[in-house]
Amino acid sequence: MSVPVTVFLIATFGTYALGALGGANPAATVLGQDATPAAIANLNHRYGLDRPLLVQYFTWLEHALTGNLGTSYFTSIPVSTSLGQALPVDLSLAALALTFAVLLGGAAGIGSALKRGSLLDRIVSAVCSALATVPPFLVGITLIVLFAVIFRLLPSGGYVPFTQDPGQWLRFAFLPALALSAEGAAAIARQLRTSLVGALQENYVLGAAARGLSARRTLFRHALRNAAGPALTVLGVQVPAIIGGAVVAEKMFALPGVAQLALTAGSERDVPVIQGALLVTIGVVLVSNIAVNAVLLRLTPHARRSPRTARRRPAAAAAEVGA
Amino acid sequence: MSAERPGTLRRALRLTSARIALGLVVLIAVLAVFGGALAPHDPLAQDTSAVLQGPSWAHWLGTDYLGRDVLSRLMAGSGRSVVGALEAVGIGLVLGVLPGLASLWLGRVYEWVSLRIVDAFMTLPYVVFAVAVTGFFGNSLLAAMTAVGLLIAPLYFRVTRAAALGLTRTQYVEAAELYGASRHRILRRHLWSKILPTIAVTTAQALAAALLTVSSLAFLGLGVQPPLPTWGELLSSDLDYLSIQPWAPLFPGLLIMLVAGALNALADAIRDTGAAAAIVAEQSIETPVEVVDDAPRATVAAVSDPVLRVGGLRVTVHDGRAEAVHGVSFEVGRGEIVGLVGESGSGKTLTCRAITGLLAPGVARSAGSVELLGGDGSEPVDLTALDRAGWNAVRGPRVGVVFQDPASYLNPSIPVGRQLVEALRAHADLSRTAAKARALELFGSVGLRDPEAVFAQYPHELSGGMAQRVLIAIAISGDPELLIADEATSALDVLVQAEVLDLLRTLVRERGLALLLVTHDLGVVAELCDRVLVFEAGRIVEQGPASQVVAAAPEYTELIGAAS
Repeated sequence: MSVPVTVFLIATFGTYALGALGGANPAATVLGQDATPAAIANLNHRYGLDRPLLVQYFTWLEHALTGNLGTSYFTSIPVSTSLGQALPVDLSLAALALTFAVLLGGAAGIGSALKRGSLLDRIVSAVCSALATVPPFLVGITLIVLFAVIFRLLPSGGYVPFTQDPGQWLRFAFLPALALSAEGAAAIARQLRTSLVGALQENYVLGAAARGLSARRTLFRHALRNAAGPALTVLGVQVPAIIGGAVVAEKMFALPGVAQLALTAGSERDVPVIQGALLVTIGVVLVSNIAVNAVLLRLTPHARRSPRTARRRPAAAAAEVGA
Repeated sequence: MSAERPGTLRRALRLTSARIALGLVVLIAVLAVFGGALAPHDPLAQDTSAVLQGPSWAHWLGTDYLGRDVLSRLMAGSGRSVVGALEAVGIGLVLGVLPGLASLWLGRVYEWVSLRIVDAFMTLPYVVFAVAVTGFFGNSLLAAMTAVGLLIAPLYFRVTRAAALGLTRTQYVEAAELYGASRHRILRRHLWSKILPTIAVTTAQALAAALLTVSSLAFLGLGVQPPLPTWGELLSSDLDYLSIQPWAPLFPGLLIMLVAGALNALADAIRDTGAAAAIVAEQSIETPVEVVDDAPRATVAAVSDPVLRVGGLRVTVHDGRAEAVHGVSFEVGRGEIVGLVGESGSGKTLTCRAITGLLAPGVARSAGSVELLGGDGSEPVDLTALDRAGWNAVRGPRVGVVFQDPASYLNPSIPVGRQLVEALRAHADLSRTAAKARALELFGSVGLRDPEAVFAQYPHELSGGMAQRVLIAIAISGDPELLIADEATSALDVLVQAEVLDLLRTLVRERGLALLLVTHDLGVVAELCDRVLVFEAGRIVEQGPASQVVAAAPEYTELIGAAS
């Protein structure tokens, strides 16, 4: 667990330091240009901004870990209160988007790898290339035009919490989640196709066939197991992308999420709120990374050997050189 | 061998698409440099009498909310947009590639720290981080693109590191190190040629991603500095007037799509060229043989109690365009060891693959019969008429196969014991515990000294000899009547080779197996085989008792000796 903790500390310190270095202090933003030096010093002291950076950071972190993220420079609402309301929106939306991405991308990737060169393969490949080049908000706009304006199947914006009414939540979350998942689904499909095609040409697949294992077993237990690793890594990388995309989706679909909070705070240079939003984002991404790594380790244990272990077998390596 | 051979048309198309992509990228580069000068109107000139107009002869793409010419703004904005994306990618390239390479050579402390910093950056989403940085430092294109660049760096770091790491793990670098080549020389000779294509692919993709991120940020109003035009600025002002000009975001949107698409196509083309080179290299190894229609010269010797009968077997390669095996016929009897010898490309391995139905795509049996004759309680099987399910019942219980480079024929992610258990349970109704007990017994019977320990090991943890014993254990687990060993001992050192050959001889004696042994080593033939079939250019040119053939045909000895 030491690695995620280190990463968490580096990421939060880095972003905290950027915030402190940015010069967006409450004196400048709240008091305005006509403030007296005494008033500025007074305000900086109140926010603890006259202390060394490391002291500030650890004080902030200590408070953050007990649930106190400070208060907004502007509204005086505790940051943790605003985040507490906004976070469930993003978490439920991201979970739905990930599910879409895995289902759509997985099916497309496996299908096109098995039927290489077929019509299906060509369609999947064309759709994936197109999705990789479309600005993310265009997907959202297209979905709104299709499902909300032309077919009138789903609402174009708004939100109902999952805990209040799961059915309504799904109605409101469906389009933004689909828009968010598009890029991830394309990435997973492409990666899975590539690695699965590679895995299917590996000797161990021939070996499995030579042992008389069924085609299905060879595909799922042998080829897919080894091919899933890179796709899972892509999925892990997609989590930040999905959260980043959520900023755009939240604006477009009028969702009251963390990103909206950060966006407003960004335009007002409301540092405590931005830092709180970053902290939560980093936390969510790290937790999902830990989950992905845990699955990856179970799936392909050999991938974790260091190159040094491999070099400890000079005899075996030398024997194989003659091949 | 399993070379995927796209048709010439498809390859040409791929080339054409790469050319179009390259042309587009060059066009954008020209626009970026000269766009402002080439623009038909002044991109900043306002005309309040012609606000929000549709496309016309004077304004090809219409005008915006201040009556400015959209085409001119797009052209003039190219420079700033491209420079913004280049800036982000440049920051990423510099901060990513060198630390990524350094992480392999500067020792563990640096490696650990740099990986943690990269991990830390990877937790930050582009857009969220850009929002934060513009919040901290003020809203400017430079702040936004620096934020994006900082987050592109980890991508370069990882990709470079992975490519270099993959290279250091390959056997030829391990071998080069073993033979005392300096790391610097390995780096110079192999590393850059491997890493530069990866970096090129990543750069094309990163540029596309940076352009898309700029447009997302513009949608949110970040990095936009009116009145100076950029593609993002056009988008954000278009979006404010969406109700009047719903099609307006299409022009900058399409332009961004086109550039991003061209860059991605270029990335694919670079990658494909690498793959194509590999295919060409593979193809040059096999020498295509023209179809020659004559009867096999060697006559079929009568074998008592035959297990396998091959008659007039022909194998074509290159999707049937050339024939590599020209009608071979032979039999293998119970308890008999038959050697297939010949130089590389003489057709002996193709013959074995055809017998087991494991021919690569593009390679096929074009004529001839292959039969398992059965007897002793088992049914005769026509091996030329099997579907996949039929093969599954034959491979394992009737025919076992052992290959060269055994570890690669085992799934790297699964302990070898469980792979043996899987094979056992695929063919017999065994409980997990019964299968495990049987597996340990089999591991013992192939001479593995500590079956329990081997059971839990992964293929990469085994030596070559141990891996071959495991593969033999799996091959005989279904109690087959025929065992095919394709160069099964060629990659092993002399001592281990002798042990494995000894094991094969014991198995044949104890189980009454028929063994088909492919080799180019006449020493192996003389020591182990009862009978020898000599392959040359896709035909059996000589056959007989091992001692007789080896002694009476010195020209083959020379031939094969030269090949090995």
